[in-house]
Amino acid sequence: MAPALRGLIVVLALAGCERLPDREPLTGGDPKHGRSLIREFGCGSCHRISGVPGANASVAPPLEKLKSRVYLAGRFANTPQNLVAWIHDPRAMDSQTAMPAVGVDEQQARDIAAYLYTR
Amino acid sequence: MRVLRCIAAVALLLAAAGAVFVYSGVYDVSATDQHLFPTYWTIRATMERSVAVRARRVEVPPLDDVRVRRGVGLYREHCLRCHGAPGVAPEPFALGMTPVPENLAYVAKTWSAAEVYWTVRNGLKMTAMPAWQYRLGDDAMWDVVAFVKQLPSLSPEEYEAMRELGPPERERQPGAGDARRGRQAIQQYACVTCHAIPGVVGSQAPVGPSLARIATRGFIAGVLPNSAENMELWLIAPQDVKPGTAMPDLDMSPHDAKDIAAYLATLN
Ligand code: HEC
Ligand code: HEC
Ligand code: HEC
Repeated sequence: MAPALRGLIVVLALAGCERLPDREPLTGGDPKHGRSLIREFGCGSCHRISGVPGANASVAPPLEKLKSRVYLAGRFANTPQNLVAWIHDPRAMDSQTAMPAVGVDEQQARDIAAYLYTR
Repeated sequence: MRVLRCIAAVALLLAAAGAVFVYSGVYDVSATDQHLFPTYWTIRATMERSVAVRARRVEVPPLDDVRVRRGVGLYREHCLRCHGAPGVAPEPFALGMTPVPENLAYVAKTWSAAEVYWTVRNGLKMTAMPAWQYRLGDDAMWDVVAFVKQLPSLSPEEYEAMRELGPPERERQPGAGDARRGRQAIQQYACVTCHAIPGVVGSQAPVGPSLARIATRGFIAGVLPNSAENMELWLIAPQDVKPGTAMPDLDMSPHDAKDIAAYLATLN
């Protein structure tokens, strides 16, 4: 019973019962599209990201409550521009970082950033 | 039964009065509003009794001249600005504190060495008096105490003559990591003003990443493979590990870094 119930909740969550806005005001991106891009690009193989099934690795910091964070990657002010730029090409901003550029283009990065800011 | 109901009613009334007192904002917390005398007395007596009782367990080492001389420099470096010294006033910011830091020449007369030591070691809650145990080694704290106990016998001139003696080295202690002490040290370095840290109460501001499950993290600050030694390295010198990072150098001793790393290693 309990597992079934939990399964039901997960299914409901997956089915999009968690309501995401069509547009996220800070980035101007589409959070729903962002969420599927996050799955596609496998960000979850390094990060824990709530609302994205399977994204619970802990190689890198969890991307929870990102909107309220002061810095990105410990070095850059947390602005929508910096977040988009970071997702697009982290190594361009910090050649030392262990986060690779995974081939996200600017528009995709904007959508991903939009999703992360709804967390 | 009636008695119980009566007690419950009184308790409820008190709780309600307390809530009104807190939420109405009538209590003035400004540092310029002086305490009513009963309030002052209660706070002061509570503090003195608390120190006296806890200082009973402290064992006092010999406080010889060597300690006194080493203590001068430490006192000048760490205490002078708040407490002043013979012929030297505290700095202006210290005069604006409530409670205002006492003149230690007077305190040293009435307090035992053990009490001064306990206060220096542990600090005083709800006052600006810091706890020094994570900044000074045990020996250094006793050096300061030895000097403080001499204060009443020092004229301003004699104090001037003593201050020529320079500040000694910071004490560094070796030892294995102690997670329990590490957790206390985390409180003392005010890590929670920047991080959410499970098991440590505080503002948990999201300036840096949450340290929940930090032990399972692959990298420290995204650049350093996560291991016990690397964690100590990061805590001691984040700016060397990752120049430009928003995590500041905290002037942390290797001993504290080892203990804090031990605590962080339990967060998995
Ligand atoms: C190979 C592992 C890896 C992958 C894959 C990865 N990241 Fe990262 N990510 C990291 C690491 C490591 C850091 C920490 C970087 C630093 O502080 O220098 C990081 C940092 C970040 C940050 C800043 C977080 C913070 O706490 O400041 C964001 C945002 C981010 N990643 C988003 C993404 C997104 C979106 C994806 C997928 C497109 C992704 N990452 C894929 C390893 C990865
Ligand atoms: C002034 C704010 C500030 C203080 C105080 C501070 N940190 Fe940090 N810390 C940061 C920031 C910002 C980062 C992210 C650094 C980076 O990625 O470049 C960080 C990163 C870290 C990391 C790596 C986290 C990760 O996800 O890789 C650890 C561990 C850490 N801090 C522990 C501590 C401890 C323990 C203390 C107290 C002794 C402390 N910090 C005090 C701001 C602070
Ligand atoms: C940032 C300011 C500050 C610094 C630095 C400081 N103190 Fe204090 N100290 C205080 C305050 C405030 C009190 C509390 C006074 C009170 O409760 O009446 C206090 C109380 C004390 C007391 C208890 C005496 C009493 O009657 O209140 C002792 C002993 C003491 N400090 C010693 C030291 C020593 C030794 C140092 C240097 C290692 C030091 N303090 C550094 C602010 C400071």
